[in-house]
Amino acid sequence: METNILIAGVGGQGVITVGRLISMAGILASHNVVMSELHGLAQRGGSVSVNVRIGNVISPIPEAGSVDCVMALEPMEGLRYSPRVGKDAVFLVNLHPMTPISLSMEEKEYPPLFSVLNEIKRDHQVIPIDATDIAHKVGNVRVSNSVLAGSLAATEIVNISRDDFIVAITKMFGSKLKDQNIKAFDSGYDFTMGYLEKNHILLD
Amino acid sequence: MSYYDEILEAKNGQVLFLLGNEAIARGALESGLSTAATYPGTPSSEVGDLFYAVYKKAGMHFEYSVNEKVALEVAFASSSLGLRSMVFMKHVGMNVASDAMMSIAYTGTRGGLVIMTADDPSLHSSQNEQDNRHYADLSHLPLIEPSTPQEAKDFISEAFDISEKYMTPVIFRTTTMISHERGLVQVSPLMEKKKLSNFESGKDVYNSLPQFAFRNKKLLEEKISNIKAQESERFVRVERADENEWGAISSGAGYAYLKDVVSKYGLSISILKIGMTNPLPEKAIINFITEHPRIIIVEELDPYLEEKIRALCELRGVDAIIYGKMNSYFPYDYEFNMDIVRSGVFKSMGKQDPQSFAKGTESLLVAPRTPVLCSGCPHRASFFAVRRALKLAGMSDAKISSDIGCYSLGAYEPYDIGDYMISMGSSIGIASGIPEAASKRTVTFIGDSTFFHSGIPGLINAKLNNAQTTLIILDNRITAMTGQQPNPGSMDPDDLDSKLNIPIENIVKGIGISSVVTVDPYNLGEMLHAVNESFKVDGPSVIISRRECAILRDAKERKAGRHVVYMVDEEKCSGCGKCVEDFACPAISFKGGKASIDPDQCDGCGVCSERYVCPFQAIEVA
Ligand code: SF4
Ligand code: SF4
Repeated sequence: METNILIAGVGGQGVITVGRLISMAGILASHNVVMSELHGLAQRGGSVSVNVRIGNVISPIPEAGSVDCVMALEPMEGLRYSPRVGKDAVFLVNLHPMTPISLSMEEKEYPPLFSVLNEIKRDHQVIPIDATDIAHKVGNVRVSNSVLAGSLAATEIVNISRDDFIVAITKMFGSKLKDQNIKAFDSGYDFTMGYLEKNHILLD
Repeated sequence: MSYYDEILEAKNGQVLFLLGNEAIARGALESGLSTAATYPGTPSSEVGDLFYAVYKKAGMHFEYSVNEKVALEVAFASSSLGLRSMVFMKHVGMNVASDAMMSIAYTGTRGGLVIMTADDPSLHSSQNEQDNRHYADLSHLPLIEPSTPQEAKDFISEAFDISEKYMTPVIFRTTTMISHERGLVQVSPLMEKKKLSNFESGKDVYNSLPQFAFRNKKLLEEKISNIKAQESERFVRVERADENEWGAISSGAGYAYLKDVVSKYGLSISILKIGMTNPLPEKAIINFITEHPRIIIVEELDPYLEEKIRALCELRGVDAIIYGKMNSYFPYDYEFNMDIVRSGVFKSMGKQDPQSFAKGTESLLVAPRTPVLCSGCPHRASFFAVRRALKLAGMSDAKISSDIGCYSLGAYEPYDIGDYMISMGSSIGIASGIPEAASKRTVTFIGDSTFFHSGIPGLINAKLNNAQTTLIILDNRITAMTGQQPNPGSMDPDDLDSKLNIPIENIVKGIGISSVVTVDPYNLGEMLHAVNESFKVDGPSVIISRRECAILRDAKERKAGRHVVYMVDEEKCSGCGKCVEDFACPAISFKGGKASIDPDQCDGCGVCSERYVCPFQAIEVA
């Protein structure tokens, strides 16, 4: 059994940090974990992705079509990966858009959010969450990725308990950030639980 | 305890989740490392990040040397005195270090000396995808390649032992995938450092005079053949399948993909995994091939193993059917992945590829998102000012020579900075060779760190040629692209005025260039003026555009509790689009026909509020 999570976002959004958080939680849950990272030029504001593979595997990048979950830190980055992963992949999408310079430079606007989501929905189960907004409410926009981690935990796509996530957060973040991150995680968890129930979504 | 301290202080048997590069650094510490030197370069930089954080505690010497060649010389000197030493760099850094390496191979070493190269298949952060295994042949040095973070750590210790036993440097080669993969690593105890042991002066030990080198060449050959006989076979692992028809030979990252494919699809293929790729374990290879009539070779980039194995079979008269790159079962270019390896393996076996997944087409709503300069990046201001000055002077077609660093991103629209960008420090050398007939005046860009690395000789040449160039030294006080390392111009990021700093101004003036000014690029008016003036100079003219990297500044501002952001006054914004078209800060986008600033992305540099960017002065502090 292997579970493959692809984290897609914009360089600088913290794809590596959230990848490490999920990995640490996976290790606490006694899984083998490998993760791919990106450093250097690729990190500067471009489209980036990180893979977390949980299970008995060696190479850090999964076969095409075998991603179980795409965690999109930005909606268009989610859509970018939509045709690159199999139809079983569930998408957790942060609703906060970041306009690529290529559009701004032509004075074009970001496409309507619902169209972006609908295009992903054509092929995939989508769980939207305004992680950036929730993070703002927690008091620190930088904890938005923990909101998404909470959302992932709620879906049970990964076989990792909520407690293991909390321990991972405690280990990874300093005392001040720790509390905000746990709060963010809990908010993401609760929001997604509510969303799954309200929409009668059962993930297998 | 900080993250890196935890790695240093981990106890024997503890399991950590480490990046390949961190595992390498830990492995070197476990081997009793005394000296480490590097010039930062992706994908090798995180080895140095760890050393930089812990070297004092670890009681070792660590330095960011001025370039890779000097880094190797520093490590070599320490090794010659019996201390274990290491130097590490990205693959193209090896080109810089190779001049010294080729001779050090001849003289040999004393304390273990490991030369690590991190290759970059698929050119994630590089200008080429050279396969540095060839350096092992060129220099007649042993080369070791790990396949996982755990192996990266374990093999480093082996590399030190072998280096010391045979008194030869050992090359340690990773690729991006291995260096930047995070996995579980069980650590071993830290070994005591070696004691300094002097050698007798007046002898010819480390002297490459032709006469000595002539003799050393023979010794070098002896060393490598002893290593072949006694060490190479130890790095071999055979994983046997039920049947003996198919065998695969692999190393490095190729092995990881192969292994995952073989287990996922339950293929009956035995695997011969090679850890030392020079000299090759010939006995193990011949035995394996004799047992398995059909051999698949899985390796990234050049057919390095394949060529040697084919030659070996020919020499030993061993019949084998080999499937590799040379007969088109696997590609020569770019990084592998499970899909490429699966498809090559199935094709070799004459089977239908079981994978039916085909990529769909990308939605039209998706726009390209290439890497960009950060919001608040001082380079953006410099590029903007230069583009504008060129336009005002009617020189928009002047040739622009750029160099390696974050500012390479200037090549993209709208700045279009970089007709040339070849290798570290090449910008000025090239500018000193462009004839006036082709470009009356040229503009040259180089970063602070790159200037020290190898830009200075180019500038001397430019002075000698009286090159008609405006050289802009983008001094952001840090080696930014590789993750914020110090450099000779700013030795301590927390103290930008450190006494240890070597002022760039003094170097430029020392060369005899009198036209040199230092400008803060955030002040567009001054920058424009300086560039304009420089166009009037006969010969090279230097502008030091000094302003710390936005990431560095941002961290400090936040620490000090200061963080301003800017916003667009919708009343004043005419929707002309100049700020996005010509300046292109990623925090500014267009909404409802007006510019709009995302407060989460704005860095508060304020440059967009200057009238050169926004003619309507519609941008102000929020
Ligand atoms: S890291 Fe620094 S130098 Fe590099 S793009 Fe960002 S602000 Fe500019
Ligand atoms: S002040 Fe203007 S140019 Fe500077 S980061 Fe903010 S939006 Fe970008």
